[in-house]
Amino acid sequence: MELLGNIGLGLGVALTLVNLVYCFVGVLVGTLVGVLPGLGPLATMAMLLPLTFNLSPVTALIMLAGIYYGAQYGGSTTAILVNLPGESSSVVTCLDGYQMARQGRAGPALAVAALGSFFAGTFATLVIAAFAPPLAEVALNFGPAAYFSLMVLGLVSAVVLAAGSLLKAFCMILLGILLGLIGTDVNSGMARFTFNISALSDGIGFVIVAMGVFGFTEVILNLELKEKREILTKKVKNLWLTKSEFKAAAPAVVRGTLLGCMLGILPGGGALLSSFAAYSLEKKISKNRAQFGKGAIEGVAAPEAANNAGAQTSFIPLLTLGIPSNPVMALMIGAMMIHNIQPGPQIVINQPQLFWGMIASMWIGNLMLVIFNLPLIGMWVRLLSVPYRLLFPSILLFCGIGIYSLSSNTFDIYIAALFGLLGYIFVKLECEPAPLMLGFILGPMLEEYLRRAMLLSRGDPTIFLTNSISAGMLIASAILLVIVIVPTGRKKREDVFTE
Amino acid sequence: MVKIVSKCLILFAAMAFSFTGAFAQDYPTQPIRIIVPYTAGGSSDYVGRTVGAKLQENLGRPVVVENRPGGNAIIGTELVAKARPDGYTLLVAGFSVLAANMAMYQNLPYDTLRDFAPITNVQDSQIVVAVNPKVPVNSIKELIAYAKANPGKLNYGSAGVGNTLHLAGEIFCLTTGVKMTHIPYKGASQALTDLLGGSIQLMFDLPQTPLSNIQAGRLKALAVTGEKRLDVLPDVPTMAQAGVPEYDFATWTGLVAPANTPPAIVDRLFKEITKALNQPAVRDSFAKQAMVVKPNASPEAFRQFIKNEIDRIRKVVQAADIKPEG
Amino acid sequence: MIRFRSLRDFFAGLMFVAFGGAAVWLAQAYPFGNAGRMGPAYFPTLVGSLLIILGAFVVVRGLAVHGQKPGSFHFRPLILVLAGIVLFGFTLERLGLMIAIFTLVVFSSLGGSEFRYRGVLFLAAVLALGSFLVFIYGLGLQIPAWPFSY
Repeated sequence: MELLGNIGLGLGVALTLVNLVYCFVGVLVGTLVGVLPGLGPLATMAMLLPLTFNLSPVTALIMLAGIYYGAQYGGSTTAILVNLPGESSSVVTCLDGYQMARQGRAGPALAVAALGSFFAGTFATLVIAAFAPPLAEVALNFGPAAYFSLMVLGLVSAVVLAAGSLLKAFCMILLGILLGLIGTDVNSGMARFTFNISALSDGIGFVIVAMGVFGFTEVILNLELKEKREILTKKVKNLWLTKSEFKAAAPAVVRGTLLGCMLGILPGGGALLSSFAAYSLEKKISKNRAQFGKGAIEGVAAPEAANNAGAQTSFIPLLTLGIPSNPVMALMIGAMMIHNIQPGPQIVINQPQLFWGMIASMWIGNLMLVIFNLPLIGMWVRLLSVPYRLLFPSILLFCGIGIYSLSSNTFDIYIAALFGLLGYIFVKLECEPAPLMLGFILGPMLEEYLRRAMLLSRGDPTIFLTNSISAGMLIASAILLVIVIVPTGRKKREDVFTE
Repeated sequence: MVKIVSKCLILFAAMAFSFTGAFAQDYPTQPIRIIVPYTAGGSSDYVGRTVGAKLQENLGRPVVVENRPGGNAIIGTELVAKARPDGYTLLVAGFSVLAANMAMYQNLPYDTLRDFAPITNVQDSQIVVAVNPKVPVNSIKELIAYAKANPGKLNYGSAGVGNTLHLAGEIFCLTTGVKMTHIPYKGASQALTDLLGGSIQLMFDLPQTPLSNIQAGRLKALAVTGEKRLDVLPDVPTMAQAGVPEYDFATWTGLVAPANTPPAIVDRLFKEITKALNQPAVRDSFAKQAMVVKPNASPEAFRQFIKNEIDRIRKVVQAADIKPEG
Repeated sequence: MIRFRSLRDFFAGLMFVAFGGAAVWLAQAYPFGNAGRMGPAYFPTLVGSLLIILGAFVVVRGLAVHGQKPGSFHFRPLILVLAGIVLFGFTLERLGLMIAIFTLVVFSSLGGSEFRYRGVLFLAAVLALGSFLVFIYGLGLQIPAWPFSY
């Protein structure tokens, strides 16, 4: 079969010593970078780009790709251990992962994240190998109307994220949308809500808000506990998954993987949604629903699998159409250009060893990551037993350096501090930050696609229903909204009666 | 007394003059930063890294490329405008930063002619008109006829309001007298996605972005601006050959230093950069990205060129009433 | 006499109304457009108005539905940690990373419950050295280490 032949070709390329070494270097650096809050794969790849000039194109791309998905692995580590999401996709992992760590189950959480990611990576690699060109075609059929409806579906599922009051969760989503709108409006070129500060003209970076709301706030809250401070690792049960945990997590991983693969191919921001969507899906269909937000293992397994699958499949538009799905892919295009390779539909034909070599090396990279990360779990867990008074200044410092490394602008640090304050107020008023983050990401995209679709339809709103993909998603959103609101409506009435 | 003072003054002046002269001869003694006001991976980034690598070879000092994206390239540009004019901070800047921004924004935190010492242009990029194959036109003339018959129906994408691609499209509409609807995106690749998907019908784009899709037949290239056909697209006629010589648009990228950088240093950089650019290997690698290496005759010539571009674009922005004010 | 059933919800609702109101007010400066061609103010006004309405609901809930008081504010860790971070940002470019680290560690440690001079300074020194080696030397990040490098 042709597919096997191609995979063979790819493995032949990927298993050469040079490529193996650079793959390892890439995933190693990527993991370290992902663990450090703030500093992301994009900045690291840009810094290491000059190193790749003297390498062959395949080797260079293998290393850069390794950094990218290595960072996904590393980002989940900090999300679980210290409630700091390194990437937007790790935010959801914080919800249950950190709670698991507080209960002394950091080991299983890290294990399920690594294993789930490996499964997802393997599956996604096969998907890319077999279906890349037709999937790319599907992606092209998504116009602005379809993307808008996808965002609506995403926002509705954000409501599911809420553990507490639905009303307040919805308000937090709206607030997140408003905060996300700060910056330059695409459709008119005008700067909104920026108070003439040029640092705000591109909006506030997601990482900065996340550092503040999740990282800084958490540190402050922990310092309050003083005498009542829970010592995290006294109760470390084991480093591995129990049988029941494994049984619960496995189907979640599969569902997350499928969802991640589907959403990752959409160039317009699909991969971001994958972890949120996977979490919401799990929460909705799980019998263990009440545990979500308090340390349900499916709440870690599904999003982790989803975001790794999404990260891998987001290579598809790049490798098949030459279109970058996110800034990291754009950098890969730049790297290819420097090596005089034209990314695009021709690559499969003109440079098959590059195409298949990269795909094969993605799987090998995932393998290296799981082998590398699993033994480290013991080390990470031991790190948690460091006295908090030594740990927390280090966390603050790495956040600070990470934030500064994004744009070399100290203003970003001030903004993060401001969000630390806001996060604190939110917690004291029992308003959840996770819906805010999702609104923050999706809101501006929602507006952009809405206005673009209306521009293209010359003001005709029926376009959202005449486009079949868009209509389908809007119907799904409506159904989901009903499912979400109705049972809790009943429950609320019960609550009121019992008061 | 007076004698001693005047001797001291002469000595001091002599030292000062020789200092700047010696300064230029010793330059560079430190690493040089080249600021690229865009994220890594774009054409400006490519220019910065290629030129930077060559400068590092020839000058023997590390040359580091720093990406400072944001605010439509204004953030990185402002940084260099305010940097110390000692030749150790340079900026990769081109048409949109130095000329278009001047025409469009009232409150720009820099003034191109006042705050920068131009070194030289590096490359010119022509514009290719790429259309989705479903559009029933096969040449520029047919496009114009179709657009005239259906005013406002055609949608063309750009990388943002006031962006080079937007201006290229507006100039086309003004020159040929047609009306098309402009759809702004957050970046050229997003526009390209919709172009491939058919939501928009055409783009006035830098060749390297849609290049591989044109070569694969997923997009039709109707014409390119400029005097010669592109090596990478030999079947695509120039505007003149296609019968629309009045539409002429090229975007350019060059290097500048902060104003008041000592002329000796500017000249040294000019010599080194043009020497590098004239090497056949460098010319070829640029040509593969559809960029034409085009250094100026002197830094002064570059300055005059920039001035002309600012004036030209100011006229267009006024005529098309483009206002991304905020 | 108004009975505040849940001060938590009451204040949360006020906060939402305030944010929504601010958005709508600030958005007045931008063109509104119409449903066919939305201006930059359209969406923010829409979302802001919705937030005001829902925020008002939350306020009403705070008055009607039994809940809790807001969590207690502990000002010492809050102010000191945030001050440490802000000062870190302030000193980073002016005085370099080394001094910024000391500032951050000292201030934020003051926000904790135990403060031992030797331990804090030792931690700061270790972090400073480590950061220098890993970030500036190893990764080559463009961060000034000492005063007046920029």
